[in-house]
Amino acid sequence: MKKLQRKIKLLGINYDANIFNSLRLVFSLILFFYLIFSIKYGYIIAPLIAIIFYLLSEYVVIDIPLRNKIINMEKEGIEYVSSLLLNLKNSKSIRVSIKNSSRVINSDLSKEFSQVINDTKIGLTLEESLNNLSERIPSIFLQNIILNLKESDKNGTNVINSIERQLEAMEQHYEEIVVGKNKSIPIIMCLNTILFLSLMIVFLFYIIK
Amino acid sequence: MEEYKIMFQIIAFVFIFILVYYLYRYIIYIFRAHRLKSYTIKNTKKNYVYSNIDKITKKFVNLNFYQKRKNRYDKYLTSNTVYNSSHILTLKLFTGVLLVLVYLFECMLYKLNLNLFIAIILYLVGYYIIDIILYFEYSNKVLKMDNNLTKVMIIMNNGYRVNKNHREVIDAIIEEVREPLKSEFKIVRNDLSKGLDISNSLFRMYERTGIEKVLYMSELLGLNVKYGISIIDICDALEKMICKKEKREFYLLRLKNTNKLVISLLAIIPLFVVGLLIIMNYDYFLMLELNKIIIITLGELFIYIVYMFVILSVFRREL
Repeated sequence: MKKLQRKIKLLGINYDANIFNSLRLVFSLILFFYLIFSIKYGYIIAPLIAIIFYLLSEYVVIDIPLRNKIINMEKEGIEYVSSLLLNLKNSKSIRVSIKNSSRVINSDLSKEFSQVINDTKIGLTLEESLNNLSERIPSIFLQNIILNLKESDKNGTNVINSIERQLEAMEQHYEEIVVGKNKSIPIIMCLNTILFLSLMIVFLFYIIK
Repeated sequence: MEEYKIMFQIIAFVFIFILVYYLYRYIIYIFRAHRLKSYTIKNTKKNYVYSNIDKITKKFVNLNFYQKRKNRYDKYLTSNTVYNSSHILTLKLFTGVLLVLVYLFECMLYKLNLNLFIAIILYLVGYYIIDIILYFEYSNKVLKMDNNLTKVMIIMNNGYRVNKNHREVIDAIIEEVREPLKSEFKIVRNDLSKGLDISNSLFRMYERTGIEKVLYMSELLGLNVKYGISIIDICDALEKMICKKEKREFYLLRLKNTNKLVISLLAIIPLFVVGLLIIMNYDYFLMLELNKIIIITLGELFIYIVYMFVILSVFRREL
């Protein structure tokens, strides 16, 4: 349950995991009873389909949007982190550099980072607000960069080199995802053709009859 | 009836003669202007067609219709064109009228019945055909610009290192770079001279072209304008970022070319298979009622359109 709650928080939505779990349980039960009474061999098919529905609903509603959000965040992160580095190289403090770069750049990631500055105005410390930020951002590399910022705020160490390393790794990761997506396109298209061809032929013979 | 036919043919002949005469005058005009080009100081680009369009637009510019719509065509203009965005609107309106006039003339010639539906379709075709031509030109231009943007970054990086100002750097870019980018940076220089800063003028260029690298440039140079971060560091970071992005795009282009081949093959297969099925069973097919044939063709077309839509949407996923 905690894992699910964390996933929902990473998506950026304020929603209770208990309600989501009970909703999908109720829907799968409705599906189960409907199939048992309506289909001939319902006692075999109904439990199978109910279990598949219960497991698949989490994948469709939470996992796929989360993956898309990671790709989007890493694409925007390449620009944002390099502007953060430019500020840090010119001997600005961490708070000022986050403020500057989130004012200049206009993207979803910069809105998340500008929330840190708003949190510090309410009364949280920088460490606490960075902790809150890392719960809202799903990418591992961006979480590492935030951890770097937090540690340097605590100990006063130089953080530029390690952030550069993380940035390079993030770029490579994003590139691999993009290339993998492009390589999988022909297979998806072939499956599409098989599906639609069979649909066309069935339609033709259904009407001729 | 024969006499009317001869009369219409005479009118058609006169009309075509007048058209050919005006075309001849226009071509001669262009040739003479081209010959005198190197000896004149004044701009010889103002031609015959342009002056006529300009006269018409001056009468209608203050209308509400023009004021609302003319901003859409700003992105198609460059620093070289003498055309205005409102001139494009008049051209669009008058090509539609011209097509309808040709249709009316043909109806007169062959004594056809006037069909209002065809006239409306012809007007719409004339209204949107210039849009299509301009859009293809524009997308071609943007592709050329996107590929040559690293040159701009190299010139910027070297220029700021020897303490040149923004104006001098952009002058150096205009000297070095070729046509579609050159005219775009002339507009940037014009913006600078009006009083905008470098990041805002580059953002206006992004709004005109829609290239993502230009957005990066404008946003990171804004750090220098607003918070005084050293411009040499910014240019270094920008050059690194743009080079990496270009490398990634070249690699993706290779993958996308193979994908295009797969698409063109897969688009033909359903048509081929269903066509074969219909031809093999043609005698059986003829015995059906007309209603069923219409339903079959419409249904197959609908499924095929959905299929192509799905395939193209998979291909054009935002990456």
